[in-house]
Amino acid sequence: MMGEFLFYWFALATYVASSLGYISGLAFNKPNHKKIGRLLAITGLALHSLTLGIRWYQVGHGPYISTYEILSSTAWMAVLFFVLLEWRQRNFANLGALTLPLAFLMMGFALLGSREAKSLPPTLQSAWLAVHVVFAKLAVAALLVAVAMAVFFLLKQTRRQEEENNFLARLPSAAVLDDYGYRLVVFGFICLTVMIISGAIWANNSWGQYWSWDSAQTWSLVVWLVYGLFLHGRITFHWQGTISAWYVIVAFFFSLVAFFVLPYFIKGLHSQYMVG
Amino acid sequence: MVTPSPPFLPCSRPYGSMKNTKKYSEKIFTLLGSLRVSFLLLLLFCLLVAQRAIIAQKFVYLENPPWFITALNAMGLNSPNLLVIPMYGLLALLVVNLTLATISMTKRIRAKSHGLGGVRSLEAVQAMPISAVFFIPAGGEPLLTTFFEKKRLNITRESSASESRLYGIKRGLGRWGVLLFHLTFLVILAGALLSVLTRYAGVFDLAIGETFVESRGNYGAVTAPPILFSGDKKFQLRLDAIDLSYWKPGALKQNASTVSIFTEQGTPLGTRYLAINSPLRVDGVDIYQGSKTGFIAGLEAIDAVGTKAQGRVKFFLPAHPDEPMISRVQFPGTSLALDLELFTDMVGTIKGLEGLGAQHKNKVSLLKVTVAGAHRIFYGVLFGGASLEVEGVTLRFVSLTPFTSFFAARDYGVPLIFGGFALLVFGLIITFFWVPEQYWAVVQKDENGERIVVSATTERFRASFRERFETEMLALQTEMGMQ
Repeated sequence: MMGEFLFYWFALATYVASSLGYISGLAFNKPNHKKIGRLLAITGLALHSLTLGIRWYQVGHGPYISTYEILSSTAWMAVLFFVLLEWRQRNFANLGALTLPLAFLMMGFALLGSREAKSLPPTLQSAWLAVHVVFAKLAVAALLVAVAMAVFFLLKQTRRQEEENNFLARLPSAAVLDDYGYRLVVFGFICLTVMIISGAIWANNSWGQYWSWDSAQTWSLVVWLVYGLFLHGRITFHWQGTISAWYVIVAFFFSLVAFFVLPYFIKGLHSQYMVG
Repeated sequence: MVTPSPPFLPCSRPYGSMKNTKKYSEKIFTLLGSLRVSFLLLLLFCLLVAQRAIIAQKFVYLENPPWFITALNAMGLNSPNLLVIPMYGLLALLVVNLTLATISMTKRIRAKSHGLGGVRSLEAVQAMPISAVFFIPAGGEPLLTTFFEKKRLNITRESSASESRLYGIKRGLGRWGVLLFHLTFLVILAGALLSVLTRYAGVFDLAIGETFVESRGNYGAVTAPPILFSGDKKFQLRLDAIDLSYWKPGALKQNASTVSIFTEQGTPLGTRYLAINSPLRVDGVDIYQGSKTGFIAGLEAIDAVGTKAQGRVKFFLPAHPDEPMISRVQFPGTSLALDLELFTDMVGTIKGLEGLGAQHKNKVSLLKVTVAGAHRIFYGVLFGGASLEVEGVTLRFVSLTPFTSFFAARDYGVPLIFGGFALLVFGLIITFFWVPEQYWAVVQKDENGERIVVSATTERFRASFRERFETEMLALQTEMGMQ
């Protein structure tokens, strides 16, 4: 456990350094700083992967149980998602100034939870668990990056063109930010769909009931409908730009409450494993 | 010239009103199948599900709930059945909307497929929102062909001495994604309806060696009979072995069983292993491993006049096996009630609980007998195979057998729902990530060189598509030697 914890701290420190690289790169228009930030993010991701791998080997299951494991793996997924996005679209490097700090903050919060290793109860010993958890994390990661796009879009919109002699000018155009935000919401929505479906199939396999109106299950459906309304609104009412950006921010806040806040206050099937 | 008189209408209504009626019905159909109505229905559905989510919260029924819950309760929103009728009404409307939307969508997509495809004139290509114009000395057409081929476009070409027109499309089938996506909701709703009509579920317990015959009367608890296919299956299930294991006391590792299956006539169908997350399907009925396990004690009671009665007492293994296993027995026709506490070294035979078995130094099973009621009286200890007299009744501890619980469910809607789920994901991916892209190009040749116009369109993510198009055009320009 000591080795895992040591690597965890190294990964956290590397993410902090990477955040500094991205922030200074964006603020002072230093492409080299962003390059260093990227290198550090990849190094941090490797160390973080090692941490998760060691823990997986030691406890005999993936990072599914307890606040510590869930937040740590969510941060890992967010950084991985960002690194892949940046690899595909270099002009999104500036998003690192938002993603990396969020990742190390999540890792910090994870340390507030218990690090005690827990054994998997029989209901969690299912291949569907991995599908359910991975897609939940992918959904959160995609929707989080979509929020970052929406925030940058709004910032860009509020500044006049002549005032854009700042870091905002180095971002893609407002229309492209809006477009990528939409793409990410679509991706997040598909992941959310797979998460709910895999949960339903798994529940049917475990308890003979695919839908039981459990608290977390029902809130997930509400969140799915909220994002479904967004996609519908984009097509039916041609929502784009400011209204779309605000919707993405509010919807994400709503899903955060549903997935990360309510389990701490409401007892249910999910809360006993998520809270630990 | 004589104008012919209007034809005779076998109807009292004037001709105009019939036309209007047709118009109104068309309008109603268009409205009911419109995207705006589906948005509204989705919004209402979201609100109804949110109400169910609030109901699912345990704090709705707290003694001192927070103010907003008090307000919701005051409005009567804490009733799980309050919005059942609106929910069903809404789902019916959604089915109508989806069906009509599917019809209009099919028409629209077919029209689009026929209307947009094919080569276009130079003016039409130039008038498109995303387009680029180049002037080069010569060789534009082969370069454009290579460009279209690299993009894996399905190419159509028209050429004359002075002009060449190119058209390319890829992912054309992607247009049908939206339709597929909407159809899946109909499949899922059909599955849910089938589920409501055919589902039933029940629980039953079996001790090792016991047999369960699938029939409504044999379940310990069972749901109301389904509207369709309510007949019993009557297959038999015999419990051969229980495979219970713990990581450590209090942390269950696996709960599994080995069962033998027989037909109604008793023909063996084989032996199967079922565990949590690994159910068994027999004749359309899914059998799930239950979470309740424990022991069944066989007792024999003989009263003062020699009347003999036999009974079974169930002891559930508690969540933490350190906790006591207590069961209450009420003697029929008397006021005598006994609290029996089971101690058995059989607990130590369970994997992961070996240490607990060692605590039972006597290595036997025994019952601690207490008369229940206002004044609890400890009567003594009843060892396995021995007798004890309690309030004039001689009690004999005959047997002790491990038991486990099972859950059975039959639901013919499940395959349809899961099939709908798969189609839903597929439809979403097709709709949003298999987006059709169309390219047009015209090469106009004269004595000064070639004028090339390229344009493109897509159905989604247009801003990033435009950005990509601009990059592609810059690359094309470089290839044409215009840097």
